Amino acid sequence: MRTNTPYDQDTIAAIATAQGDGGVAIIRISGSKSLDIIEKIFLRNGSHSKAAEMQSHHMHHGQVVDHESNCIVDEVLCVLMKAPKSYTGEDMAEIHSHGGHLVPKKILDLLFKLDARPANPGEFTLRAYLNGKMDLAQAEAVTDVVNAQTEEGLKQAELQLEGVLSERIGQYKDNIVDILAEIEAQVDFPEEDIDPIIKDRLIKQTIQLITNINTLLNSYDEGRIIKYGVNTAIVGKPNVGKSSLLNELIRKERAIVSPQPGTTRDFIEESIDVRGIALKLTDTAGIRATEDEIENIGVELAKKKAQEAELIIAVIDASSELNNDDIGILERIKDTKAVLALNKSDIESKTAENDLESYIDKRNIVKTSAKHGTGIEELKDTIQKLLVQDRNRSEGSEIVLTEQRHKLALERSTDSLKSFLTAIERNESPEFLALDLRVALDSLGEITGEVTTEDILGRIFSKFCIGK
Amino acid sequence: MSINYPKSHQVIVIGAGHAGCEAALAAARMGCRTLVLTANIDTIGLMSCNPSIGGVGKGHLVKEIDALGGEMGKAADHAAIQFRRLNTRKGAAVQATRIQADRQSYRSYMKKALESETNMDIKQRMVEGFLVEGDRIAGVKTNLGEHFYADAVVVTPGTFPNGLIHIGATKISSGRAGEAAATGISESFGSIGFKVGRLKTGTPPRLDGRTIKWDMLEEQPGDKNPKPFSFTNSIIDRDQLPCHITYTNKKTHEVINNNLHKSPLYSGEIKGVGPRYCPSIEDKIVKFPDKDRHQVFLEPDGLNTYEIYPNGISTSLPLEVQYELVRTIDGLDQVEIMRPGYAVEYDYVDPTQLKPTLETKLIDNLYFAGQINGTTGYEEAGSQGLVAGINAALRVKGEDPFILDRSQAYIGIMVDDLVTKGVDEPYRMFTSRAEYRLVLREDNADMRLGELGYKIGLLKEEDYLKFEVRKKAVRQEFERLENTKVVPNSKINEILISLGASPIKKPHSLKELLRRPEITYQDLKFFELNTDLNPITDDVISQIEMDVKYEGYIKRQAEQIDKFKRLEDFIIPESFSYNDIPGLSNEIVQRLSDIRPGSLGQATRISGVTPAAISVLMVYLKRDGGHKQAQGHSISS
Repeated sequence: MRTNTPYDQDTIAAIATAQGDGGVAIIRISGSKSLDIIEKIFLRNGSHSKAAEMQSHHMHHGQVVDHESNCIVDEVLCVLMKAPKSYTGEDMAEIHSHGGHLVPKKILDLLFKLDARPANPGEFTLRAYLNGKMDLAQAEAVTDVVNAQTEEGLKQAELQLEGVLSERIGQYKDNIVDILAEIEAQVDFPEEDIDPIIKDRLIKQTIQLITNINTLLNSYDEGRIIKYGVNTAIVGKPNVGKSSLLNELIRKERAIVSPQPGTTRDFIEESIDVRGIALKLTDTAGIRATEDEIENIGVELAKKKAQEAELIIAVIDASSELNNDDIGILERIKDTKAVLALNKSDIESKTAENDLESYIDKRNIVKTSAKHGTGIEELKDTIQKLLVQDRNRSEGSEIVLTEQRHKLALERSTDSLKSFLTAIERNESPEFLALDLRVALDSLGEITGEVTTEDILGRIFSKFCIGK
Repeated sequence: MSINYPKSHQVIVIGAGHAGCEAALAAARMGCRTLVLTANIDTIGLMSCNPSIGGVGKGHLVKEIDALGGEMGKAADHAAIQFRRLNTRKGAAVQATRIQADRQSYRSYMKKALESETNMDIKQRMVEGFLVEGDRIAGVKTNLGEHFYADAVVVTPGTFPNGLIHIGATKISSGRAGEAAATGISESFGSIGFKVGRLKTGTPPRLDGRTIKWDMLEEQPGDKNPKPFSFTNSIIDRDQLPCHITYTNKKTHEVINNNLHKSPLYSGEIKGVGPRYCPSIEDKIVKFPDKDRHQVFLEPDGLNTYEIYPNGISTSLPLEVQYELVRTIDGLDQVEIMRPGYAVEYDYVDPTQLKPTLETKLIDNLYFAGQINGTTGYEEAGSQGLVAGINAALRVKGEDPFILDRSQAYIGIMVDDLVTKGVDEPYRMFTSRAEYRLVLREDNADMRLGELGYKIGLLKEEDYLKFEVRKKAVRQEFERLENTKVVPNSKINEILISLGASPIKKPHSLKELLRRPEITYQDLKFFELNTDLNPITDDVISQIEMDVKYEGYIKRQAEQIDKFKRLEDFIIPESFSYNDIPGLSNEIVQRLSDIRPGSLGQATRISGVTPAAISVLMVYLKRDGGHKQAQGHSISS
């Protein structure tokens, strides 16, 4: 329960490292009493030292002492981060103690006795946000960093946390404010010696801006994949080697041990990290025409799963001729996101790739041998290319969109920019053009912060000599 | 030694410039016994700077003053020697009126307007300080030792508090050329505890028109069909004087660059911040070195004088440099300077110390208006004077305060900006300050504000009835356009094609035709059967065209206003304590406690208050049941 005490008087504490057998644990405190508390429990050279005398952002060696019994609890490193230069913007401290279960817990209990209270989940970040240390988009990224399932997911979350997305939004806003300043100058200073707006240039600038925003928008599909993973179904008729292929994929990759909480689908067998993408693999029953009632239930379910999947890995036994069951599966993957594994390719192939082209792009066909473990890397490459094919960005330096909230706001802003283009083409009076631009700005502002009219006026005066 | 003046007043107005005149007239007209104290009765309503009223944004303010029952629009119409509509090729929302005024005629009109009020006393005195009882103003004291008592006091001292004129290295303690500064009042601001800052403004040398070579200059005539400022005036029929345009040149810039060290602006003598949009010529040349010329408008000072106001070359350079520089300009090579240009520094009081009624937070019943609040311009001053005068009168009468919001009026925008954000340079109105510009037009100022002006007892009934007639005309014409159908036939379609519009197959209302970009209101007559209609005035037409042609934009603007109102109606009680809110940093608590926003909407506009803090505040206020309707005067439409 949240108390009604103002945060200023309310100091929170928590163990920041994972509970377990680690060698070192970190206990974090934030709030106005942090420094007082440290003074009471931290000994340097055997005596309490004033927080004011302890340099901020420096490690201090010493001991934690129980302020009631005067017993030494542990030998620790302690760092103070004095407000406002801290993660939360408040006075903070971290105690680096020995790990394990007991010591950190004991220290934490000491803190609670001294008026700190347990931090709620995410409360350090919440405070950082409330104190203006990060904007909304950055705060959102903190959860993503903690919950990231793959390297790529983590990288993206980190980029967003660093403010790369906010920076990009800021650039878009800047571009709009530049255009707006020119438009507004026409309105408010009709008698000044200001050059008339060059319509073609503004149109060009706007189209470029829309293109840039669209590039970011287009990354959302990928961003969603990076953040949430991809539901993947492995389909094929019985005995083509689906399970061996699955095992082979899993064997070579780190299996993700904790799938997203709350997903309780019966079919999820494993989540694996393929080239930075979390594939949530669903193995399905072999799909074939059958009279057997029970088998039929499994087949129907498999078909349903394949339909729901965002990615299908279809498996065909290359060593035997295509039969109607194979054709049925190939029909199924037509026009879906799919890769086709020609398994058992170590044996003489009886399936010509050319026969498959009407069902699937040749680039998405891979020869594999689950038995010999060959073609697995190629399969992964193909999956990666297929999932992130729209991606036109240099490795690691670019940010993708992962939040639907951001996507919707960006879409609203491009809508307004398009409406601006229509209006400027029609030679509408500048105040109408300005309205579209301002709405576009507001939409972008929803992602991070606000644009005020002062910003626009500032821009006008820095660009034009205004003075009647 | 002090003398208590025997007659007590309800409202005292200190100063009789543009803010003071509106304040005094509003208070007196609303029935308060009003006293105006001015250091010089001859300068009532004096235009200290350029002889001109209005402009884009500023014209909007004048129309609003007029719609509420103020005087500036009428005085401008009376004194105008040139009328000019600005932005005529742009949309109705940004078109604006500006006039050149005869300086003498303007001020004698204003003086007479004040003297015509039966509730008004006018006295020439220099106010030295305030009489405060507890937290409440009781009156003022003058340099002659008199004490004047009143229920409310409106302070409008312009550039006089600690005014310091600079001409080169020469410094003169003065609020305006030839007039003494007011030092006593500045001291009282400090002793009461107001946070005071320093601003700067300037004015160009005034020229002798007989020494200007007019033939070589470009003429800028007035409009052929001049339109008045005041809604109460209909036709303007008079001869107009032209302005002339000339330019500075490389030589001018050379003179200035060579003498920059003599300018108190660049020698560090002037500490006050000047306006960016009304820079001195020194400033323009330093900040925009690539521009090889700057415009100079030569504006006539009046009908009965040769004095010329060269707008665009305000300067504080030494007089001998002023001569040198003006004489480099085309047409001015033999010009004589009648009055030197100068810069003036003056004290202003940080306006975040005011409530949206312009009453100070420190002292009850004390109101500030005009340059003292950090603004510049006659129109800005007049608007504030009106707001302060109205609220002083309402306070005296024990009625609800009068506050306009950002979606109602430019006046509301200005006051909100001042009391919420404060100023870091002299504040001037621009239409780009208005978020809801499309609905805040000159042509509908009376529709927006007339009823409010009448309700508070300021706008005269006869004027109010004129507004009502116009309002009705707009509504009726709108209905007629909606209900009049045009049935397609070959003749109709021929006309449409000749106008560049596509032919019609189904019956269309006149409104639907008007919505087409190719068709103007004037074109509708081609489709009318009944030509025997009441004449419709231009401002009715512009309102109808706006509403019909830009329905989509107007709708979006209305949605924005809706959103805005939701936060504005989220009232924060005046006594609200921000210390009790979990989740607000000390800095933000401090900002909020200083400004004391009246609504959540106002809180969002305080600099440094983060969106996160607003959400915390909203949650807390909701839980506290803080969401009540706004009080005060509002209008349902």
